[in-house]
Amino acid sequence: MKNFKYYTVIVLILSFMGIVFVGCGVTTKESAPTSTPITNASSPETTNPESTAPITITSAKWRDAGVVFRDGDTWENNIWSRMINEKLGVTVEDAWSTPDWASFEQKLLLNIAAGEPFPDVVFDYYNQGNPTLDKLVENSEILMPIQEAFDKYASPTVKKAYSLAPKSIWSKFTKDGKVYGLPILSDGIGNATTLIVRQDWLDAVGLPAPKTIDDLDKVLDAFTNNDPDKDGKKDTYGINFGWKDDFSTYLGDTSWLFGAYGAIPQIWTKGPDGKLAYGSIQPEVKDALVKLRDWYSKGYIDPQAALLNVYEAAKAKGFMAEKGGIVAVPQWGYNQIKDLFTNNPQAKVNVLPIPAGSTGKVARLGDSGYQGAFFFSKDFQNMEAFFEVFNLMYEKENPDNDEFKFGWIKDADYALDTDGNPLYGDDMKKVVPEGYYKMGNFMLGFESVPTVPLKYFNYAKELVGGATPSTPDELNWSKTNNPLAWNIMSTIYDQKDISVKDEYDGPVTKTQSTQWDQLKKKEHEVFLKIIYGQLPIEAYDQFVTDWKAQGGDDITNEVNEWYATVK
Amino acid sequence: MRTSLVKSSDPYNGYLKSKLKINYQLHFLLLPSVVLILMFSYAPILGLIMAFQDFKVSKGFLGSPFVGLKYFDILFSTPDFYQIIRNTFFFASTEIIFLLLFSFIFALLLNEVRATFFKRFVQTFVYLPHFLSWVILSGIFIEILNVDGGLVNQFLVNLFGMKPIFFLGDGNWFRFTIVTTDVWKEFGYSAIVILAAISSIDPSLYEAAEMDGANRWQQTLFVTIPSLIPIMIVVATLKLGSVLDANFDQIFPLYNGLVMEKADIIDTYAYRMGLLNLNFSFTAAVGMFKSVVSFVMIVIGYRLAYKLANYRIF
Repeated sequence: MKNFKYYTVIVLILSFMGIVFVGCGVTTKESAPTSTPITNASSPETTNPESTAPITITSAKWRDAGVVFRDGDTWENNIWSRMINEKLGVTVEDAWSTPDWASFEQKLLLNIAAGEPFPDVVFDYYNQGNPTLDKLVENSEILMPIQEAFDKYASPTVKKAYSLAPKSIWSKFTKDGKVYGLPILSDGIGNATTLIVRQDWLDAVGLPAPKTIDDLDKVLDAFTNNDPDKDGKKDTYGINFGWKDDFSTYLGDTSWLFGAYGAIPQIWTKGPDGKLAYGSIQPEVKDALVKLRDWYSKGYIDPQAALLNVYEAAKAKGFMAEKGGIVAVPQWGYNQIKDLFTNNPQAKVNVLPIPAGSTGKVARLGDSGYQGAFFFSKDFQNMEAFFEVFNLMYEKENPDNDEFKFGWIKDADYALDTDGNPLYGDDMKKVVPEGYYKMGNFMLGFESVPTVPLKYFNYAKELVGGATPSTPDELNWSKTNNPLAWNIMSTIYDQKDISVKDEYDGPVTKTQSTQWDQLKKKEHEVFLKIIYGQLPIEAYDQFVTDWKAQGGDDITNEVNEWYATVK
Repeated sequence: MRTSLVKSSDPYNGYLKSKLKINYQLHFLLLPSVVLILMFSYAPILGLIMAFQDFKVSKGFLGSPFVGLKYFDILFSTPDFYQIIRNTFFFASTEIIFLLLFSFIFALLLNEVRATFFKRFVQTFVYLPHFLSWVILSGIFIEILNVDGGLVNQFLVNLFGMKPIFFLGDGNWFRFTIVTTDVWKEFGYSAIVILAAISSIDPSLYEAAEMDGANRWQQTLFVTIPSLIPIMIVVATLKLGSVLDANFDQIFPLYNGLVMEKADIIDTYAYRMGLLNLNFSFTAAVGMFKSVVSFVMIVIGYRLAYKLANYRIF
């Protein structure tokens, strides 16, 4: 019996070790170079005579857990993968994937750090303050310059769309005169925000929609103290912010308030002397901080704001959870807050233009013209194949191509009624019981690729103005987007001239690479402490002095050296 | 295992050889651990070379240019560096002290419990939190410590008529919260060592004490506690090596702009510099600094353990 016990223990230990070793073995296998072409099972079906050998492109992707598959589709084999396979003989394979964007970014950076092979093509988002794209360009040794391939392989439709975007979209990805990333155009306005307000709360407290910051004061006071949700409890705040990471962001953004005083923090803007200056150290910021401090002390702002990230502020711990009456949202904000209407069917939401400050100033963080970029491994052989896929993604925008006139694939993203008229969105259910099936979910990169700047904003504006959709594409858009979303977009579009863009699109400067973290940390801390009343307002002046002394002046000089080269 | 299995008058060389020969099965069993330690603990030390280079991933260790002590220079001239060190030291040392103290008291109290079922139940119950991840716990703590309507603040306001406390938004309260929650999470687990030590105290000591008419309290005071002091000293001094190991998992999800000054620790700083900014050389310099300090502290701790408790590992 005793022996038996010993053997059991030994067997257990050995099997555990076995597991560990097997685990290690599997990992090494996975991380082995993935560039070996893998023969595709469906390659015999390839009909395109030009591409005799099937081409495999490896990529990395985050997979949205909310995607619903149809007809046995998978992430590897779906309507999109079959389409590019049949048309172009190209297969896109995931070198690796993650369940969400945050872990995608982390894995991407870790893989670079570990010297893992870079997949052939990687798409990543850009957000204000997110350094990943800078970091990729900085490590340009692992990337392939793309300017030549773009000029050579991009279709006229693609080039036309890119010509509508500002020239500066390329500079972010340029290093030593070479372009290392293919920027993906934003819709022209990107993450610029506007405010949404609980109209039912406004009605309950009997106030009109605020037009200025002063009006807003009254509304916030009423939302906080007059029980706008009529539940007899003082459980509401005036406005939701998400300050865990930054002030100038997208959801739960604060830049519009700073803008009302005349400066946008955290970005580089052109000063009166023609040089770039850092927004957070402009004297106007102090006035905005005084305002926020005042709001905070009056209880208009949830004290948790400093702990909430932007999604929490707009969603489960803020606006969507009916904790606040106003929140800033970008054009894609409707999808973020739409569950509010499930939680509370009585809720009514209206859109407010960005309110003006007492001197009439209106401004907010603007768009850089791109929403992200494709990066290519330096060992990538099939640039032409990539551009075939990329051109195909833009083919819907080609007026001379009738194939995608109504949409990508019949009975997936559009249906035809008996008269041959296209049906979109929920109308499709008359013909296809499953309804709309979004192919964008599976595309190389990101669901809203491809984009032609401002196209959808124009649609939104026309639709809000009461026009009936004139093209199948517009009809499609109107059926797949909610009227509140039209309204948000059209309001943002009306104020497109108030967006202030970050003028610095260069690489991380020498001083920035060592000092920026400290400066940013200090800035965030001082701003928050002033708002929360933990520091006197004079601390701001001290911050500006320190900022300049601790590397800020050097960085300003370096940024302006760069600016002089692109002007 | 001090006594050797082989007694031999051979010169040292032959002695070692024959010892290896006779005990080869034991050495063979040891081999996997040695390989693993070499692979995962010693081989990465070579990577410290990064701290003296302008490391570029694409160029690797061999291709990156050497820059001497540049990154150490930057590290020590960072204005907040000393604050970060102080924070790290504060979190690590208070957590060590309070954890020891609480688990010690808890073990003593639990040892006096007669009902075995209750004893086992409590023991299991208090060490359960050890297995919960900080990522999950931090989400829970953010909610129950909410300044406006969180469970704890409702309690304070309604029962004691206090003003609500901003646990996670005020530097000093943040420190308090971090240390308290860490002790709460870990004390049950670290009490196991002490309970084991208590159970290994020679029962004849208690019998003798009983003969002398000592009551339960006196037995604890004059037998249990003195017998535990050596092991406590050993545990405490060996922990000296981790005075710069504040709990990253715990602080990272909870810290925020308001408490940065009092919450930023070496590991969070290294994370931001290294992973967010991909500044590997700088992070390697930070890591090396930390290792050197830890090494010195371990040597001191080891010496102290030998001096105070006559305890030697080697």
